[in-house]
Amino acid sequence: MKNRIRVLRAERDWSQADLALRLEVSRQSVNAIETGKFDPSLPLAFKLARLFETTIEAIFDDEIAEDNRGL
Amino acid sequence: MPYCPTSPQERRYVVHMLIAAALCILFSVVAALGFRHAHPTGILAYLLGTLPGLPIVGALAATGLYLHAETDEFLRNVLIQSLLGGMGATLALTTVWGNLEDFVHAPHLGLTWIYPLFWAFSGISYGFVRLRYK
Amino acid sequence: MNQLPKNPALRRYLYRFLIAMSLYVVFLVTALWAFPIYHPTGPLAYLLGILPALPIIAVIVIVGFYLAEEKDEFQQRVLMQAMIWGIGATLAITTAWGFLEVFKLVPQLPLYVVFPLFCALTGFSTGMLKSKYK
Repeated sequence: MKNRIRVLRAERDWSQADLALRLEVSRQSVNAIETGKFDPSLPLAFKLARLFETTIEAIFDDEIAEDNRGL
Repeated sequence: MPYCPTSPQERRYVVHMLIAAALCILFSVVAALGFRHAHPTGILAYLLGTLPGLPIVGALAATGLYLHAETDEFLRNVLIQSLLGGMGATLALTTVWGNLEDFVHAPHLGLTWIYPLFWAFSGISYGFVRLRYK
Repeated sequence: MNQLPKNPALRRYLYRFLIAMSLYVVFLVTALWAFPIYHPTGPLAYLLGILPALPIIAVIVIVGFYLAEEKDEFQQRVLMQAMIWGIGATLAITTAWGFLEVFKLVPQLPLYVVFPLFCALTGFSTGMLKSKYK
């Protein structure tokens, strides 16, 4: 899913590794979410929103349909 | 609980599996008759020998296609968990049997049994996974 | 061993895996040593024959625990997808080999090769998937 994580990260001057540390996930995980290749679960999406002090809708954009299904 | 596929991708999957099953039976008969009467050798023998396995490979591809096409995340997740459970049980059984074949000369279980065993175990596993979400 | 992973689930997995594999070596050596010397029969032979399979079953369960305990949902997803590919490839290969075996075109494979085959194919798919998500 398309998202603004890269921008939000840049605003705080965090690397992918910094964000990964704060989310308690791997750096690859952050990269996969950021590039829209992996949709996070609801709990992880909330964690992201809380970390950036915003809402899930402000981070993720589901308007643009992307094929993210299955395998 | 009568099974009635609802979504188009489910219906398509059931059709694919039925075609694969029919082709598997047909190809098995063809191969068996071919070996009995024509005594093929060389490459032809290998081609004929592989023939009954092709629909199984097709069925596996159809399962992958269904997993990819299923838009219901929950159903897909349940199916994946069932398949993983089914494979775990299959690997446990083949490992035990393989050791018994080696050490106590248990009868050889042909490798073709692995595929139906996997589905049987996946079915049982599916029941357990569904229970978790009851 | 200063390269232990920080991820607690992965670390637990590694410890459990190493214990199971050590037991596997011990049990396998025990069985290989005991059979030619004592020629056990009956239930004792079966028990001794199954012995080396038990740590392998433990490894299957340990992998299951790791999948359940892994907090990083992306890593969990990659491993699950890799295993699904591993299952598909393993079943395709064993079924094809099984039919060739039936028609006596290839030698009989012992069933305990299925587990390492699955591990190798899953490992290969993990590499492929990781590069896809790069």
